Amino acid sequence: MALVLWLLMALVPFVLGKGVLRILYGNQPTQKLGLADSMLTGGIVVIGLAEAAHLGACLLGRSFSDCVKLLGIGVVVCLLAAVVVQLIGSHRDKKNPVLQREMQRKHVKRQLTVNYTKAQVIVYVIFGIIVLVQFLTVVAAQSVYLGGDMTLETVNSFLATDTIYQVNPMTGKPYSLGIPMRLKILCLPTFYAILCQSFGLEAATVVLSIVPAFVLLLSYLAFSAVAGVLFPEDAFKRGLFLVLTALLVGVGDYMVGMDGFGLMHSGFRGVTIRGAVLIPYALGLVLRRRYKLAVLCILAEACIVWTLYGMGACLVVVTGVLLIRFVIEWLEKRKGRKEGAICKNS
Amino acid sequence: MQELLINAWHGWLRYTDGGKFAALLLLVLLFFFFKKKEKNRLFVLYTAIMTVLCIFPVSAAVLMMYQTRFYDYEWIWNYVPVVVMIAYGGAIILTDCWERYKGSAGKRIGITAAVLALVFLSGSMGQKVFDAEEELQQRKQSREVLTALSNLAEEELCLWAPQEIMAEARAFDGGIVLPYGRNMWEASLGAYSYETYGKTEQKLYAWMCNLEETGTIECIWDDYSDEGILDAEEQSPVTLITGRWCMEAAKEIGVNCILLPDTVQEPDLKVLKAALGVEAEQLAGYYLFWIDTD
Repeated sequence: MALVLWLLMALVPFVLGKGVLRILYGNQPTQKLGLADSMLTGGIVVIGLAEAAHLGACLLGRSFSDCVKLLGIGVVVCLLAAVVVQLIGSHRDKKNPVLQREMQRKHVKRQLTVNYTKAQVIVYVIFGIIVLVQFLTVVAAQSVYLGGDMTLETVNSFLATDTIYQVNPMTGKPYSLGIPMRLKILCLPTFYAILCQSFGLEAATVVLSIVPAFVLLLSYLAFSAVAGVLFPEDAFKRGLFLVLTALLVGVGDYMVGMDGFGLMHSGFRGVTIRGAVLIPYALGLVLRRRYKLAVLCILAEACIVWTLYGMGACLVVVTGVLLIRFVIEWLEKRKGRKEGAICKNS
Repeated sequence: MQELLINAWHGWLRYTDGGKFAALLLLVLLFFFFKKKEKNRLFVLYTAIMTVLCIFPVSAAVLMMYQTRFYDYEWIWNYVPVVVMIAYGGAIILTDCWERYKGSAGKRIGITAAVLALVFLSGSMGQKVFDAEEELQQRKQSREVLTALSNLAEEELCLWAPQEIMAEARAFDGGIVLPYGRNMWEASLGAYSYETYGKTEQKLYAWMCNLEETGTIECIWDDYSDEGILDAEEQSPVTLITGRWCMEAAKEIGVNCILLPDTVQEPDLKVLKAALGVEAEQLAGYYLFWIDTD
């Protein structure tokens, strides 16, 4: 069942992401949105669906089993919708001669540039080896940091009692005073518990092994999306950037709160997903002016991490880059106007 | 605010203590400061500004307030793309140097080695934040005991045991109920709920810790209320917790299974058996008591 889960964890986000990107941006190849964007957007959509199911069950006072059904229905409906949207979209694309010409041009360009040099191959192989080693280390779950976190206990509580946040995960006794609302709305424990229930897996397997390994891969997809922004025309530099990123993740696990520590020792935590997946991805998106997707990142963060009324780190990153961009453009305009005035005067 | 400022300053010192990513980041930013043409000026500027904001205590305190007090100082570094920036700088520096020294393989290898050495030296260098092996071993042992207990149990377990077993119990099986959980000794977990423990649970915890440390079944407990004033119910700030009292208290709060370390001396064990009215069994280095709660 773990293999089926792995397969679905790769497939479902991909299909969902494709559908959402089609709705938001139309034809993807012409918009420079690739596999990483599909997977990451799909992942964000899954978080959104899990949040909807979680809130639905929590607010309506339904059982955990109902929540499982709710998410199942949500995912199936969204998958169907994504496939239909994709089919209709590609049918329309075929009828659009301008788009066809552009796609053909891009296809030719890609074919011309697809011949990888020896150096590019080497650098990507090194990257692949480092990621594989890290992936196997994380899957083995031999070095998991559980301090200050109770996800595993929470997931087990949901599974054992068929309720959501009704018993204290630390003791198993019913809550007398309850938990903060800002914590109650976070959907990750519910999502992990749904995976356990649906695939008949132990909470420890899902939370400590499968999810962290998947988050590690998502993280490298996010980094590769950033690499595409920083080095759009140079595959070798992209590869080199990814190698260095992988090395930094590997050696940077010296402290709680570092991206490397999160990815290597506690990939199941919301803060790790935020720090190593959502923030790099949001940064890449805002740098290439994909604001709609950046908003999705901000929303996803609010679903998985305790934030200041939904305002989290992604919002700071997006707003920060936007502000600096605004100032730079304003200064350049002013400079242009001044130069224009000097030219006129002379 | 003053406390936040102090936290921000200490946080920065702590942040630069363990590894040297912050130094590497500053080095990369310095490189871009002197670099004439930069294609990704927006990205570099954003990183530089956020880095300054995270280092400067006043702005760091504001960022800490924004991220809520749920998180410590180091989490504000989430706003800075540290890994991305260092990797970006590293890639630019390496490719620039390789381009410049095209004819000299020795220099190219030297520069590559220097950059890689910088990356490795700025990391953990083999130092571990936590002892993963020991923790894993402990968890495995606890799971073995808990598996045996689950097989023996005829009804839902309400377990009171030494810390290592209690820590793993709820992660092992959500059906096991405990008088107190991991948040008794991991204060940071207290932020996840409004629940607090009563004095009985606190005393049971103190007694069990004492038993594990000293092997004796009597324990002195400093009984100060939160405000530092003596509790009206208690006559003295120091209370003696006896084994008999603990067994009766555990029974009263619904515990039906007690595990005690097998370091307990025979005379003490007799006292505990008498208090519970049941015989003890041996289970993987522990004494096991089944209590009939009916």
